[in-house]
Amino acid sequence: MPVAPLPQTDDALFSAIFARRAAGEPVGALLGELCERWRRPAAYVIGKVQASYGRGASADVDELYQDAVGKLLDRGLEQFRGLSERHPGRAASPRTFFLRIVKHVTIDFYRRQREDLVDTATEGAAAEEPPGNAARSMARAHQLEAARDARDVYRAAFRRLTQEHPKEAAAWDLYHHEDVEDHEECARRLNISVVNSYKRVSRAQAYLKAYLLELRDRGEL
Amino acid sequence: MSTPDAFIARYRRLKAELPALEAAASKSWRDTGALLEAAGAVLRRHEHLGAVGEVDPALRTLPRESVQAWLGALSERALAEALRHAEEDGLEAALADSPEESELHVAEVMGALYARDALQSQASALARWEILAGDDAGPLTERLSEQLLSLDASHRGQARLFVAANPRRRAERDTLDVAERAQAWWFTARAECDGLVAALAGRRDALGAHLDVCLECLEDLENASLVEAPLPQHLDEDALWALDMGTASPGERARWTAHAGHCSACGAALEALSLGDEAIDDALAEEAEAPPRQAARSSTRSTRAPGSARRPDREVLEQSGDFRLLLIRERGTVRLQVQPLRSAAVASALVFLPPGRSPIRPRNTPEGMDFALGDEAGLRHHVVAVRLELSGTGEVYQREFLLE
Repeated sequence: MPVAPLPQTDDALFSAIFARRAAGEPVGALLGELCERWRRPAAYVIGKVQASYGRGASADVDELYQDAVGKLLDRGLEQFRGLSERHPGRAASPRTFFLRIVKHVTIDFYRRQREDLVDTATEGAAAEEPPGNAARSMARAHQLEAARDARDVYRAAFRRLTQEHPKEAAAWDLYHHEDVEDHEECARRLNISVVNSYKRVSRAQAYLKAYLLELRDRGEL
Repeated sequence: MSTPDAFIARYRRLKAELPALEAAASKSWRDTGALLEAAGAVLRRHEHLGAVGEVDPALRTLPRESVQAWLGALSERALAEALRHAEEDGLEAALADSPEESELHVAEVMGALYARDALQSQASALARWEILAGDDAGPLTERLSEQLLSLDASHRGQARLFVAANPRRRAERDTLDVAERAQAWWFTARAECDGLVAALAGRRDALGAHLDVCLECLEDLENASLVEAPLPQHLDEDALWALDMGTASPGERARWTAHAGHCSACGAALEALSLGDEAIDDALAEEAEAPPRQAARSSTRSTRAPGSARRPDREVLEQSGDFRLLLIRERGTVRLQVQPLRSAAVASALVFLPPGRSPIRPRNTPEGMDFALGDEAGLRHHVVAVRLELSGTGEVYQREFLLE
């Protein structure tokens, strides 16, 4: 039985994994090799983020690493390609991109733990888990997922606005994202008239809503 | 509503032109298309045009090969592109500053909608031609209908953007036979929703009492309300990712960094992000220093003289009476150091790599504030932005440097 040599570089290995995955072929061996190559730097990054949260639980390292690998496989290629195409240079190499995923997975993990602790403290540490807790958790997870999808679509609409109508996008960014919500201040910062600020924000709103409705029609929300 | 004479007159003219079109119909696929369009337009408006007995004789003269040539030359893609442009023009027409500007865009919209209607007329005439040719199963009509179904599926919902052209669309709708109207979405869908785009722009009152009776407008406003919804207060996973990858807009960046300034959880997340960046840079630098796994792998470091890699290379970027700004290259990484030259000379320092990445958190060292920028090779041709606020005068020093 012929044995194909493993790709030499990380980039080649990374590409080979996603090519095989897209073709529905098994990726276990290649993924195992890539994980082995990236495990050490990933563990280092996890450790540093853990330390920033005052944690040193080495037991979490494997779990976080597996979680990051899962995320890379689930959304990684799409994100990596999207970033590389939209913002050349920002996604860097596949390895750097993966280490960024590791970093975010770790931050998210410890942040959630911290927020859980805050929630528990607020609700009363002595309270017992209510019987419908699992159902509520599931509903909350669904809500979070829906909210995340909605934000994704909003960001896609805003990206399109930035590309097609940059002046309106800048006005909306200031007015809504930066919470300026005062046309005199927007006008001053954009160096335009107050009337123009009204117009741009209003047009931005119409464009964004039209794009959002289009995305919704296409089933992306 | 009565049909304006000007609109129905167009179809009366087409009806009158049928004999001339019939005579030229076999010359080219375009002429065949012109006859089919006129015949179909008349067939679809017979309630207004009266007897249409001249249509069948005209269609009977069409040879099969001419019809097939015309069908083969049809370009759905061109029509789809025209409709896409019409959607943009529709928005611009509704948001225009002047009636004249709006009129220009409305004319573009109507051009595309007439093109879609012409194709529908051709499809109607084709169906009639197949029946006359004894082919009741209508295979050519079926083929064309499938193509039109797919085209309409992508654009029908976007009829909401044509509302600025509604007076004309309504007039065209009313020229059609009643049974034809439901299918002709380009003239009929959202034809009463005149104020919709203005309402999307924030003027909900533009829809007036229409909103009490139009479920579609209510749904659109509800579904689009996400745009105005308050943004999440805290930095969520996506926000951190957008900050890290430089995909956040300047407004988002300002909002999030301001929030992180007074929210300990989000501040900690930003700090973790920055520490994580340092860790990534360290990990990559360490790997670059390790013996290469493959002979093919090379790095600029390998060309340096032994020992030189560990010697920090310091470059003074700026020096004033208050501070010194140093760029330090060490072990394949680059750091920026702000050294105050008098006590508490620098009130705040902000360093980042535009357009991406979050502001870099400084590490306080005995020499000053140390900002780890990252791997030397990866930073080549990147810009580093520095903003210092000096104490006392409140003077702001702001500059960008290109890393060579």
